[in-house]
Amino acid sequence: MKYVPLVWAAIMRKPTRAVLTLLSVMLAFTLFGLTIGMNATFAKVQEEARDDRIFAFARFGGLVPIALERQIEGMPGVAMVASSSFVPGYLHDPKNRIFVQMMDENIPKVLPEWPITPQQWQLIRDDRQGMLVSKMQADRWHLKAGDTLTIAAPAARKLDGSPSWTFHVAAITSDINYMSQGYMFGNFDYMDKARTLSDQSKTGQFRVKVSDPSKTAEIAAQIVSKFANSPTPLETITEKVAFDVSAGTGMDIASVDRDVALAGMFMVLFLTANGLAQAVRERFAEFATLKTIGFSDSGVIALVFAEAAIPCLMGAGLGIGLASIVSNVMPRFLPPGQGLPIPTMTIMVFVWAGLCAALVAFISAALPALRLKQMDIATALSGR
Amino acid sequence: MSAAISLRNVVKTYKRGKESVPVLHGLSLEIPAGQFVSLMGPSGSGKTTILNLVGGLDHANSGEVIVGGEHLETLSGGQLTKWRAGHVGFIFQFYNLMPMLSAAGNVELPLLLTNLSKSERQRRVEVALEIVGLKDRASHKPGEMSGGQQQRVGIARAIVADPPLLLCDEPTGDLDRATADEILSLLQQLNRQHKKTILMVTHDPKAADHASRRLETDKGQLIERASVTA
Repeated sequence: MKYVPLVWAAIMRKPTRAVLTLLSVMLAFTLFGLTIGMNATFAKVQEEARDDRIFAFARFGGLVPIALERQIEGMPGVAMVASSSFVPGYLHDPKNRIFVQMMDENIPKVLPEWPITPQQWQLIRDDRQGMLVSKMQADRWHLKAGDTLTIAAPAARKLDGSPSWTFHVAAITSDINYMSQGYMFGNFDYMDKARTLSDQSKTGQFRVKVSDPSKTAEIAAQIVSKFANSPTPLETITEKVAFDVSAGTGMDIASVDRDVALAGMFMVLFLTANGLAQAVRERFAEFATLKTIGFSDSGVIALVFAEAAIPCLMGAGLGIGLASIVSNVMPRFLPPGQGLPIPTMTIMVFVWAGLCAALVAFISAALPALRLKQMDIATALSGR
Repeated sequence: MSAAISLRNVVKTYKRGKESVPVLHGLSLEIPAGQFVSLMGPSGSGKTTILNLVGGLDHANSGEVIVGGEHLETLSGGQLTKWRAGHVGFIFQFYNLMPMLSAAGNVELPLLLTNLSKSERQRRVEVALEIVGLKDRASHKPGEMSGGQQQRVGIARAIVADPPLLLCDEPTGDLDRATADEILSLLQQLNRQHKKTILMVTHDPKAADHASRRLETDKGQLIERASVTA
């Protein structure tokens, strides 16, 4: 601790340079936190994907006749089918986007792992305008059970031409891990009966549960095949593939994220290494003086390492802190239930940031430290 | 009086590219404890080399360098570093202060290497600054002080760990006459009242006059000169 003032004074010798270095390190670690945090989210979502479920939806876009649900349910190997659609709208101002997923009565059976109790599901069955609001969304819109919410949804007009959809908040429910912006669930029946006649008895997508997870891909292909020549051809995707962010992109997104984070670290490394080399060069005679009055090689080298480590670790802490704030604030600006990924600041993100900061500091200090170790004191003092 | 510094048949040659430049040729010197010795001579005559050898900053090619009873030629770099911390105080021509530290912070530097408590370090720093007459400037940074005051801080840093030997390399070379006289008087006071052995390299005959013994280097050899004052 007694050396802290010495190290701090050395860092603050050029305050502008110190602050700019700190800001650069902070921004690089913000990027690092967001990208590695995004990978943590991808990993979590992938982990929670079930291998016994399939998404089925209109191959060429638009709605699907609800009658197909029965036909899919009758196929061999299919255990159950649920359907859901959505009301995309906004609250008061188009910037306040809202996305209500309208669920049929089979959804709780096909997605039993969701943290919603049968009693809570029953609330939106008893009240067709009922709505389950996750805690995150309730906090965002300051909602509580019993409140009434009217959403403007120009893209989903009702039978009377009105874009207004009124919901009653039936319960505030727990958030679902991979729905990073929270959710709002309504009753599919309310939507179906209220909208224009041409859209009634149609849904957005089916969630198909199969009996044997080893046959999920096979059944997904069978569904496509069965409806290939129907007026509404279907497309399917297994939940495992749907939740795999890299699927269909032809690249490993997690690896790209890591590369972006690594590029940021290299930028920080070049910046801090150059800054430190310059700082040591400028103060070579001062280090010679320290060695003259009795500071050992290891003592002087430790001072240089501390001089590199403090801005790196401080910048990493501030950067990851900023990334955490951004991650927490992002859901406020995204509509719920669309599954848009938000970085997750797991403990491992902090650990990696700490390790990378220490490594950057170590590498930055290595060459100046070597130069100080090889210093000839008499020559350095003479200024030659 | 026992010898504080003893150089016996010391040879020192520097390499300049492929060329060897001999500086000291079998030089011998005895300085008893408590003496204030000035060392003069033309540039390149080996004054600073002698200072570096006595201060354990450089090794001789051959011969013995004994300071405070310690054979410096037998010590490793690490051992020399430890030895310097406890036995020698260095005073430089250009003060060599840390510009970002206060006077007290600069003076405290040698004490950071000890196991003294913070309060004891502060006490010793105050004493050292008081000796050099700068107790009231403890919080000032070098940039806020005159050259003479900066050199006083340098002297306080040299004596704070209470080493028996002070090595001064042109301590008044960067100061005006009046300030130089003040610094030299301070060195005399340290020699007489605090019993410090002082070896001072200087180009200035008036500065050399403050020493109790005058030596001159010439072509790698030492010549004893009569003292003017003592």
